Amino acid sequence: MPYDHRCTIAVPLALLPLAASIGRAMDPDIGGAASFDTLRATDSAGAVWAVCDTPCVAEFAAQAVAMLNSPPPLLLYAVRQDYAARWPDLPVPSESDCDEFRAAARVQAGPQAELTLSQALGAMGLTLVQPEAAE
Amino acid sequence: MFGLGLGRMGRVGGRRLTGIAALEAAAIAAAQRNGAMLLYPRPSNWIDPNAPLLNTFQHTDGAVPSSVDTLIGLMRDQGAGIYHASQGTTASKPFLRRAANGRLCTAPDVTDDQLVFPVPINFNNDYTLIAAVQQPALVAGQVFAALSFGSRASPNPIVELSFNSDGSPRFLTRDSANSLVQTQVAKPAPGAARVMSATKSGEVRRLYVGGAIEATSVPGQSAATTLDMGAINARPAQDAYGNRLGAPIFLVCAAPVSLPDADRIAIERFAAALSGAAYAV
Repeated sequence: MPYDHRCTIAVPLALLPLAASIGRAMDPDIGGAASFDTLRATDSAGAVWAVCDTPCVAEFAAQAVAMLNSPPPLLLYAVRQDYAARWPDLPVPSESDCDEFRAAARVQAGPQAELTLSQALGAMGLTLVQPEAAE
Repeated sequence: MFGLGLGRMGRVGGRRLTGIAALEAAAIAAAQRNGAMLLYPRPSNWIDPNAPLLNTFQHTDGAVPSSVDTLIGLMRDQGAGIYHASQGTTASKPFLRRAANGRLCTAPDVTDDQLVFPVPINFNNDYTLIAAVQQPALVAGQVFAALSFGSRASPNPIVELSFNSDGSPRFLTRDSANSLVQTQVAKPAPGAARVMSATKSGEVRRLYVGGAIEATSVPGQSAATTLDMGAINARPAQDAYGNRLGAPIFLVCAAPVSLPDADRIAIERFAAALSGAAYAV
């Protein structure tokens, strides 16, 4: 299963708790709630965005774009299904949560060979905030 | 009589190990004697280059083995057997790749990829760190890629084996006041696989590259905080930030003791064979 695509999703930093709850369901492994924790970007107005940039298979890339861009509540169904299967003890993001996330999120996806992180952020009108360097 | 003179060391199931398998057996024994973590992608056999991996998996549940160009979510410790490295967040998982020399490696990106392992090293006390890593190519604007142990967040202590902006291998420690203690040696050969080791015995720190002792230092500073985790990660470049892979990492070893020379050398020899690095004691 080649992880030859990338999916980059950005949300305003204020939505980080919501992004964590939805990221938990989007990640097939256990750490999805931390997906938006590390990378930060700014928009032209200087507002800070939380960024998740992940390698993925082509199917996931297409699915993520569809879930975030399509009017039908695909995201809500996917999140509910995953919480029921893997996180039954945690509060499930509501329909309005998913709508808020979907309305605010910016997403870019494509083959890694054709889409760098910088390009993905640029297409969303964002600029990466460089993480702390060692010195 | 046939068989006389062959010790039990180096024999498995009555068959004498040779080549990398023998070096691996010696390295594992050395790691186990010292309670050291030993991480590398371990194929089910050393003959078939496409043999499935025994200890490297795509997810933290260990259900699906990693293969070339898939992600690493779990790598089981081949030494002490308890310091398994893992990453549960897909966005932060490194890839399993083949390096330019064809050897299997862990390939982090330059943003946030890392495997985390729970080695209880107190960097005030003695320790040994060994890494086989490919010295990154020098790219204008890219300062360095590195192998770090310890939290990246300031002001937590950092101990790392890394490559400085001119490509020189270095051994860097950061104390609790965020001060740097750096030992650097000139080895300007980008693209070469290197076996680098750093040891702390008492107040004496040593850096070895390719089996040769390159530097000894007795710094005034020392890390003041006990770290209970470590990380394999590629440090981001300082001046540029792109989709460039960090330095391929072939093997890492971390021990909460200063390894006896014979044990350090056993692990280094295996690391060199595994990575294709030059090595001479």
